[in-house]
Amino acid sequence: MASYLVSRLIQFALVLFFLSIIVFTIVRLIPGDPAAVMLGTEATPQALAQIRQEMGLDQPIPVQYAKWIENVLAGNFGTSWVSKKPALTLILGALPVTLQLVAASFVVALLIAFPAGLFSAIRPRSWIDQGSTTFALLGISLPSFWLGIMLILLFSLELRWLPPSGYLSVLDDPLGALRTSLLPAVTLGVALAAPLTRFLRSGMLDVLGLDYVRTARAKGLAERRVVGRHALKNALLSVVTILGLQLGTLLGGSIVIEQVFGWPGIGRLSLAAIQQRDYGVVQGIVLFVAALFVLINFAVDLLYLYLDPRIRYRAGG
Amino acid sequence: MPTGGRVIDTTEGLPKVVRTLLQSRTALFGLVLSVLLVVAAVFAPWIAPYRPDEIHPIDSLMAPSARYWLGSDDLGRDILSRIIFGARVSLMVGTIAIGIAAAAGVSVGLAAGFLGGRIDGLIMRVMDALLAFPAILLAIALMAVLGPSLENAMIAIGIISIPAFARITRANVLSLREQEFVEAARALGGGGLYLALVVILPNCLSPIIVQASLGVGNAILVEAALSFLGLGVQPPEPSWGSMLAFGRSLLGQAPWYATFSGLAIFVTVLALNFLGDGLREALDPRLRSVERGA
Repeated sequence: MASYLVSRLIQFALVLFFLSIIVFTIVRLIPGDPAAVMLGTEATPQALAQIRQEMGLDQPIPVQYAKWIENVLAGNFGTSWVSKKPALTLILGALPVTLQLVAASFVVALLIAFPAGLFSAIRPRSWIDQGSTTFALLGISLPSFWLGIMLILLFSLELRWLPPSGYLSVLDDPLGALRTSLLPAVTLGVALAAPLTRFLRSGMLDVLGLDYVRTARAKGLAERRVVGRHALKNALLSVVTILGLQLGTLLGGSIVIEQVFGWPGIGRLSLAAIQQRDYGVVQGIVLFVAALFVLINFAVDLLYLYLDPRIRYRAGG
Repeated sequence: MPTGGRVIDTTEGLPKVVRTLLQSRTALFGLVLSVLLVVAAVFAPWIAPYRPDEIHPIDSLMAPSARYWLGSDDLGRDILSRIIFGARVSLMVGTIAIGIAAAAGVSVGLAAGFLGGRIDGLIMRVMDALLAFPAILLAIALMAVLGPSLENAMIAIGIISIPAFARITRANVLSLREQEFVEAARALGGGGLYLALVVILPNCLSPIIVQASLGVGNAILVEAALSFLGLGVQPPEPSWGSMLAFGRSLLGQAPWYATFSGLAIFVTVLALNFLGDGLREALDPRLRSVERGA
């Protein structure tokens, strides 16, 4: 068990190390001199040289990387070249907005996928099964940003039930937040619900065919108990994996959906940073989000250990 | 010469693959629609009623009619014509990006799986790191480096799609490497490069083909998202994503603009996913039974 954890930790650290190199390389490859971007075209050569020195751009690349990593480890993800604020401050300011969108989308996805996946596995080849399979196929092909626009068209412009854009924090105004979050959450939630339904269905079908489920039925347990207590718990394993992996998709998807609904989250921040060529912030965001994603998948691994005793035994053995 | 590469001849199974593919209604639907899309893209100048950049100022924002089947945009350009020409952009980005990803990913996965050891560890950790980025975020970051253009969108989407090909190829190479026919080819004097490229690679092609067919649909979605955000194909080049972004701003006055440009993306990706799913079932019946939980 301990050796399994150590090996996962080493892998985690290695992925973060390579990830940091990729982020560092991407930002260093951006054409143009960052000092010139900061100071504009009118800058004197002396001013440019001074800024380069201040930013450490006159140092060799490995030294720049080491300095950058040192700063990141100290919680300094870089500074906005436009607003001069720390990138981390900007990211943490926008993060609650994105997290509210991701959390609401998660809820919507689970509300759709659980009944759809469960019922289609319990009644294979029924109309519910066919309906949910079709939904899953359509859902993975649906451009979420188009779905969002179509929902705005229907529920905001035609029916006038919900606002077309705008963000309210769930902490400040829970009811208002519910109204403003509904369309974005459904938009992103459908994108997650589609693969989740497929995984839940196939996970349940696998488990329902196993011997121990047959034994439970032979013992005379009620079908509800067999499905709810015995089968579902094991089928959840595959769902946990897909949830962990899909979180990256959700974080990525939120970048586009925030743009559709005008939410001031990480997505809007990164797009604004790219448009303003504020690469200090771009670098901070990319590293932060990717590290967050890796961390979540590491947490999913640990959850896996808890959920599946077989992995614990293998890890221990 | 060693003859290990002839153990599983995919060409012998080709009629069966086609037969299985055509038996599935959804796969057939996907295939027909994909062929129609390719035909529309190739013959766009002859099929489209107007040139994509043909401006008719007095016909600005016309609703769908006999003259403009899918309506017109703010400059009076025919939306149907722009969608037909946009198919060229989408399919080109999809196929070239996945071509780049397949070429790089298969090479890298083959090297990792065949050579093993530290090289394998190093390559796969880099692939893990690439996979650690939400795909669209990495694509956006790469577009910031490369600058917004059609060619750069292909490169960026190609790069983010590499790890999927690398992983699939590596996993297959690892299982094939120890098989008897590879051992036989080795015993007959086959060198490393020969074993990797002639003996092992042809036997990994099925999952790579499936990944490619599903990858094209995904690449089209990512391109549309990039263009929607203003980072992909630039106007006046007709791209479904940028048309959709513009349609969003005109949603109150011309809802057909966003509706039809988004529908084009949806139908194309759906067709490619149907085709990809059908190919997966046709090429690997074991996968079909696993997918269906049988």
